Amino acid sequence: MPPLAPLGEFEVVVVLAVLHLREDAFGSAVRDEIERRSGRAVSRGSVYITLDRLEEKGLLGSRLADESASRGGRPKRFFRVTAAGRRGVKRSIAMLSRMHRGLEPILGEL
Amino acid sequence: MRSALWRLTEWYLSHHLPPATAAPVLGDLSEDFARYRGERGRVRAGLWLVREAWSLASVYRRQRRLGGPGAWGGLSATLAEQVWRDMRLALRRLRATPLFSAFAVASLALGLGVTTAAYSVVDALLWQPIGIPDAGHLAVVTARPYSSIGWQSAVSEPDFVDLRAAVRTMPSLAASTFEYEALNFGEATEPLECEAVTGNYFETVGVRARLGRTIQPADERPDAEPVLVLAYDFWRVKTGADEGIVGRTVHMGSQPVVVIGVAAEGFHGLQVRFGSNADGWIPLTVRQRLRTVAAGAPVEARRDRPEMTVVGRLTTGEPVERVAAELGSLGSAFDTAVPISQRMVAGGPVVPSGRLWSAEPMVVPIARHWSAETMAAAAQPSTAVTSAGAGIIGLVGLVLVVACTNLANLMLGRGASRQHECAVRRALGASRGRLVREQCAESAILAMLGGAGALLTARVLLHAFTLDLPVSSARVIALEPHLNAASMFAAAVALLAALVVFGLGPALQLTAASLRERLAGEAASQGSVRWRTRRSLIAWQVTISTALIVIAAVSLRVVAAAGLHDPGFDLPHLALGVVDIHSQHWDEARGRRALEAIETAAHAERGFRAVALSSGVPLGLTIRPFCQLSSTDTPLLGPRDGTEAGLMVSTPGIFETLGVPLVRGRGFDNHDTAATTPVIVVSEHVARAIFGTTDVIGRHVLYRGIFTLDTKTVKTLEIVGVARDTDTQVLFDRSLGSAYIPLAQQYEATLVLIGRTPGDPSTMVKAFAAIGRKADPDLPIAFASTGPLMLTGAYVLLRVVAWLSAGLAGLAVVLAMIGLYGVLSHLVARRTREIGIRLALGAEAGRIRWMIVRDGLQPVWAGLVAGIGLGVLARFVLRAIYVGADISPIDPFAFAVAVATLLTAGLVACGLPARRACRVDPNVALREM
Repeated sequence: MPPLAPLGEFEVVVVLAVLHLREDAFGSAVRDEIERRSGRAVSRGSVYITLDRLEEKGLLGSRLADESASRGGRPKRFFRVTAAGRRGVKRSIAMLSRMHRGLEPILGEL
Repeated sequence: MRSALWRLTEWYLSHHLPPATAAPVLGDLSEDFARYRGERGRVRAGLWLVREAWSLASVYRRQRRLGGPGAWGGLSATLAEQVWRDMRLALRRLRATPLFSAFAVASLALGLGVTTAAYSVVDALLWQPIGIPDAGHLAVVTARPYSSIGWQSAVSEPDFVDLRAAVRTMPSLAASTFEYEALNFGEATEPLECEAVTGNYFETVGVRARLGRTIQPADERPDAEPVLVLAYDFWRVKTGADEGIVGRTVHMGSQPVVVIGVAAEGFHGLQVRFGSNADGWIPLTVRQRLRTVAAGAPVEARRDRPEMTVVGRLTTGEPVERVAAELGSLGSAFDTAVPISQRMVAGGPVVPSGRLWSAEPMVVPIARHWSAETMAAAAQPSTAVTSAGAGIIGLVGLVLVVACTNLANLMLGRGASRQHECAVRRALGASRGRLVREQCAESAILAMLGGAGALLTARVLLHAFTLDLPVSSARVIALEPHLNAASMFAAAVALLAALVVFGLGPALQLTAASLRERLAGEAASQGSVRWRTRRSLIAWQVTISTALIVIAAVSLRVVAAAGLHDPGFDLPHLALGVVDIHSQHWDEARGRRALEAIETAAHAERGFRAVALSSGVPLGLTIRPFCQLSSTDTPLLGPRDGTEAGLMVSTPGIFETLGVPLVRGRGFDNHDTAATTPVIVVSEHVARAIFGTTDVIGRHVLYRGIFTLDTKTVKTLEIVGVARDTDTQVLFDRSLGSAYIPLAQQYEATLVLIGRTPGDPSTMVKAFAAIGRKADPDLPIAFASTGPLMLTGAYVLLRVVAWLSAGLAGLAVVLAMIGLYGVLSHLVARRTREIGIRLALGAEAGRIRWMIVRDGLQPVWAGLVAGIGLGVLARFVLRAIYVGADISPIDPFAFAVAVATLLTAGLVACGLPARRACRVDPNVALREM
């Protein structure tokens, strides 16, 4: 397995949102989840682009389903986190927490 | 769900999203849109959708540019996107060279804005519409050669009646003649210049009523009610646009007439462009009635008095030449059948004895040289107006040329500096189309900014020129220039052509063959070619600017001269008003009583240093009486005999009032009455013309009046005084002398009340109305105004034109300086490397500076010399056109201004960059290679 480059902040956020949503992780839902949890407005485009990029890196996988009439016959693209994705996000968070260690007197507990 | 907005969004996003992603993304968006619409309503959902789509598209666009994950290669950028990209690039590049951009935009804005505004003002001023619809199909009968009055008044009334019956090429003829009446409506009496017309006049001319109706054939019947149609301007100004005026009865003289309508706006009768616009129209029968009342008996119309202007509609397909031919032959036929002649009658109380003097009437037959031309051709503006207009348009053209040269030079200079960049990009694979497109984008942005600036400039200028302008005698016209679209378009095309043609050069010239040379830097041969072209452009620009300055100085001199000129009498302090007894149709006794009352009332008025009544004033007014004078041994037979002089039949105060000193003898006084010897005072010019000396007191002259009440009698008058010469006819013109005759010895019915004030006469103008009312309530004092306005009215127009041209010249100088600076400084800055090499090889900075300035100024010198030559030539031409104006071809002042301004611009433009370049470290300059 090639060594993974550490994930960007937004990438971590997106992977975590997909994990939270489990089986129901498609574009709009991911965005809503991020906005709900982070309390920050996120542009639709950047979510899609990040999803695409993460899939290209092999951290996410996707399937097309549910071509309901309310969507004009267009499929939903459901994402799931791959094993590599899980590893990657774990490493990124671990790295952050390692960086944080020892800074509690300054930053306080998270 | 499938709203138009959604379909548009779908289409838009499908062009921006990678195909693989598009379907699920659009699916998500549509679902969210539907939900959002349910929650927030249509409008807010629509706004949300637009925002979302725009943000999505821009994210993917950025992604694609970066070429990162998610980018796709299959879909090429849309055209709009390319244009957008080019524009942004061009904007960045223009921002990087603020000086160039500012010069280019200023050249465009000023060149386009000011030239268009100037043209529009001249257009409004000189080529006012004549208000006659379809003038190209209205034929007017002329008598060649034109009389001194112009093409009007070609046919006598009896001849018109016969001509109407005889003419075949036109279905109907209409006629009009000018009439001067006093119109009394209720409280006020206004002088009314009107046309007496036939019943079919309005139908033939094709003018409708704005209010009420026009004169109809039925109004011509002898038993018809007398009617009057008012001109739009008269109705607007004098009645305050009172719609209730229609149907009201007013009085002309003592005759009641009914106002039946107001003519269409802009129509001023057939006396177009002759300064006498019609204020109203009456049927010819009404004029006949007014004359009968005035004379006490029917007045017979005379065949030898051409006073009718005759017009007819051309039938479709009938050329005016055929009408002219028919009229010509009809004229000859009339001459044979009913010959007319002019009688030269000798008479008067004193009949001089002369060898050639005959007791028989002298009869001179008059031929009717009738012809026809279209109204459009006949009403062409006079040559003076046309040449003034042509002058301005010439100036506008010159300014435009300077602006174009400016732009061309700026673009060339910029193009030269970009050759290397273009070559590199071409070598790296940029298509020529791409380079051209970028250049176009840059030109387009410059054009847009310049265009906006031009519109703004033109608007401001046109606003400034929307004013009441006193033109011609006693009339104020409202000048309302409108942006002339055609001229703006022409100027814009010229400037854009300069922008694009010279801007595209470097991008287009990059063929594969030239690429290597360009890449190698500014190859010596190429560089010198470019430098030569640009040098000739600089020379050309300086030539045009110099010539323009030299020409424009003429206009400035005219303005200055008009302001400083002494007309020979106290023009600035005169208040004038026309006393028109003629239109009251009073007899001499009644008229003299009124005149006396007016003079008494005027004398009683405080504020006048002196007051006089006179039949004329030196520069003429509405009436310009003349006289023929000769020594007693040269009889006055024909109309061309003797010496012509401006005539002032006046009260004794005339010399003091006008401020004309007597050189010899005396002026006339209250002792010169009808019972004493008839006397005359002549100007020095007249004395010299007749007797060759001014020592003429006590000598006798023969006299006959022209445009006076009595134009037949030849009188012998004794010269009692010689007055100093004044300008007559127009300012600067002393080719005609003046003669003064006491009013007590010769009665005239149209006079000017002249008051001389110690200060500004405009404060006393109002007093005239009071004087009139006090003296005689029926007698209006018309056109009261100040001397400078009334007597030099035509010069007001000339002054506006002169100021305009001076402004244009100033603009050209500024543009030329800007252009010269922009181009020269740019070119010199580009010699930095050469300067570096020279410095590295040991040249002294001072010598290099001198070399740069010398080289840079070379084309400026050449241009100055050529420009002065051109300007002198143009002034020779101007001198031939404007006879009488003092235009000397050699004008050191203008030469000095041209040389000083342009040389300064040149020196600054060369000097500053040269100094900068010399301060550069040679190593830095060399490294740039």
